[in-house]
Amino acid sequence: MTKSSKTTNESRRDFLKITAVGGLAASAPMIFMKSAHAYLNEPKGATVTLGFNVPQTGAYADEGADELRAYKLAVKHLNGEGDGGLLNTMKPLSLKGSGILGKKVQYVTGDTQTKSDAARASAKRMIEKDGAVMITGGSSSGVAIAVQSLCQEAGVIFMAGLTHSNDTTGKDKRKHGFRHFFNTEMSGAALAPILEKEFGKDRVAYHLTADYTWGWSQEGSIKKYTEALGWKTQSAVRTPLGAGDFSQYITPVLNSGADVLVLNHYGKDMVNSLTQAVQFGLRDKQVNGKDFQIVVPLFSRLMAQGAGENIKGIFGSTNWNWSLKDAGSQAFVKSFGAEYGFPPSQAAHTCYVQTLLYANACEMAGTFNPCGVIAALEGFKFDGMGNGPTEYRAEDHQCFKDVLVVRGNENPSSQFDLLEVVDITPRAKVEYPPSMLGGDLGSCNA
Amino acid sequence: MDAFLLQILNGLDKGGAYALIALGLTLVFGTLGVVNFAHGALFMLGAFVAVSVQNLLTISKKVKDESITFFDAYKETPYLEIWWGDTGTALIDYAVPISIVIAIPVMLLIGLAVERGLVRHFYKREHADQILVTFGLAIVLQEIIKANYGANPIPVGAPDIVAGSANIGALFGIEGLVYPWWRMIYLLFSAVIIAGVFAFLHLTTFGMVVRAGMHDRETVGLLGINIERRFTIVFGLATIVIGLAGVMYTPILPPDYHMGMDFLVLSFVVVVVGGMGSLPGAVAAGFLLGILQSFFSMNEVKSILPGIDQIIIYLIAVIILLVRPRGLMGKD
Repeated sequence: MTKSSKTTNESRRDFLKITAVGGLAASAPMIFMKSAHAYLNEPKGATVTLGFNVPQTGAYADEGADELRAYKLAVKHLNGEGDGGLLNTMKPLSLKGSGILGKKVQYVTGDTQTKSDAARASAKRMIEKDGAVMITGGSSSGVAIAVQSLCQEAGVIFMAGLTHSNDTTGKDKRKHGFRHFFNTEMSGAALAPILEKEFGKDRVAYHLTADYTWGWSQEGSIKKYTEALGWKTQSAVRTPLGAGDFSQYITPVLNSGADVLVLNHYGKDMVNSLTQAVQFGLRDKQVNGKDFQIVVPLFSRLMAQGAGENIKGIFGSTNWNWSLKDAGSQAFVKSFGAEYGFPPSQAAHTCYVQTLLYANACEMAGTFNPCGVIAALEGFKFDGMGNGPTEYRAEDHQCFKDVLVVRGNENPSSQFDLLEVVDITPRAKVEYPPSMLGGDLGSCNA
Repeated sequence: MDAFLLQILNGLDKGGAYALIALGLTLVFGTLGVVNFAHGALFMLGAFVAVSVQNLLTISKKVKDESITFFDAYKETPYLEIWWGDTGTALIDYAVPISIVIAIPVMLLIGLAVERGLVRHFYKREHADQILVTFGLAIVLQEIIKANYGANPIPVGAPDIVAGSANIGALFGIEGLVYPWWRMIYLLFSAVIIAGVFAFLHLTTFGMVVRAGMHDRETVGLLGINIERRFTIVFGLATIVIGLAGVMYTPILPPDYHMGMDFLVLSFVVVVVGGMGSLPGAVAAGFLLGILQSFFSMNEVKSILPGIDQIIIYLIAVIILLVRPRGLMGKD
């Protein structure tokens, strides 16, 4: 009985041992395999492929072309060619000018067409067919949010291009997505003190707002900060994207009692609505005993050219401007100017910086594994990139830095001198709690 | 009251633009039987005639900004201003009116080239073939413009004397009621062009032959009249009309390479609502849809029916086609 029991116990013990050893033996190659193929599109050869997803057709094609120029310049500098650009000024720097982790950088491009479905399709193609380990670019928040979500599902990093909606790093933020560009909350916080100084506390605002995520976000932020000043919001009217003729939306402003028109429009819509608002005589009007004013909260020098003379004297905010005199901005303008013969746009700047930040994070992490890259980027503090001391906040993957308040230049010294920097709002004044804009980063998907 | 008046003006102004664009489209369909999807691109080409004239007039002496060392930046002064002072400045200021004169022969040549080189080969083909080939032409034309002028809108101003707004409130005893001079000029211009086209078709022998050809091409041909040649001229005429509409629209909407496509769908809706091939129908539908679009964009209406401004034109098109399948003035 005892013997029998002992035999049984020994058998069970033996079985457990065999199972454990067998399990370990069976799982060992799997652990190895997992390590060898831990993430999608792990670079195997001597090169690493990045995916540049920019608008090459449609209304933002010129901005997309400028983004692509910046990406090509970044690749050149990463591979040790050219004058090195911001690699000469970025601090701290792990890059050595020999590619990324010793692999030569190559790239593929996609056309977002500034349409979410087209942008997702081109990003998918670059990930699945071209083996891109990182996707970056874009000129629209709708596109950025759509592609960011795709990259999270696919398990690759997304370094956003020009996207200004709070939602990108707010309610729609993702663990795999990072934004260097500022957002509407920061625009509102930076603009409000200047608007108060220039136009006073007793104003009545009328908003015309592009009817999509970015427009809603900007309207909300500007209302929040101007109402805190004491301004009243007379109306906030949504306009269809690409409306062309805005006359039916502008005429109600004329006798509404409002003395400020806030144009929450970007690109072609901004050019058209501003041109038409000026034609309707809004800038010549006096309302409530004050000069009527127009505000364009998000300015783009590249797009401002389309508005011609109408842009003069109008206040807005911008992420970066080529006229800045810090070492980083000068280094970038010098590289870009020498390469292409004209200054870079803010879209080009943010795209260039994003590429370097991604590459630097890979070097810091010692891997292209997205989980390692995410960990390296989260909380990363850097300087010398044109915006002063900057931090990629870990909680929402939003870069925090100084914000520029600009005004359309009344006396431009050249064809590129369209915006005049009137104030550099320090980071501390545009910072907000990470939980304020909602959303959930989720976890690394690699 | 003032809001009501302003929306009537907006509607008439929009309607004038829609009618002008749809007029050329209808003229081509009514005479040649061709569904011309390149019509919007011809509108865009007209606008770029104005851009080109402005560029020519503002060829400038460039003085390098020496404070910029990383690239070449210039302060530009147009040669016309240097040579002729105020006269030169005035010439530049009048770029759009000058463009109107230049656009007439330019657009006529473009129209004849398109008709002789491409469209005439598709007279007897299916509408689907015509749509494909003219749509392809539109894409080629807009890509040529994009390659030469970029994708961003290019500002072209109205002459200073009519760049601001007129105090129309004085006419009605309403204080502060203003409307842009150029938009009123555009409305007047639309009316003159539309009246001119109708007069041409109804008061001249040429027009009578064309109208006869629209009804019965074969019989007119049997009478020994070369109707094909007249139809070629009609295509040229339609191209001039749409080109001039484009030139005149530049101070309202800074032109870009894609503006033709933006108007294409809208102009077809106007033509279909008016009745395919009906010139009075196209004009009536243009004004009707322009006015309705303006009124349904009023805050008072949008607060009851949010988003109605974005669909009203298509909604009206659906209703009219359900009630009158051949459009407002289409013939059975």
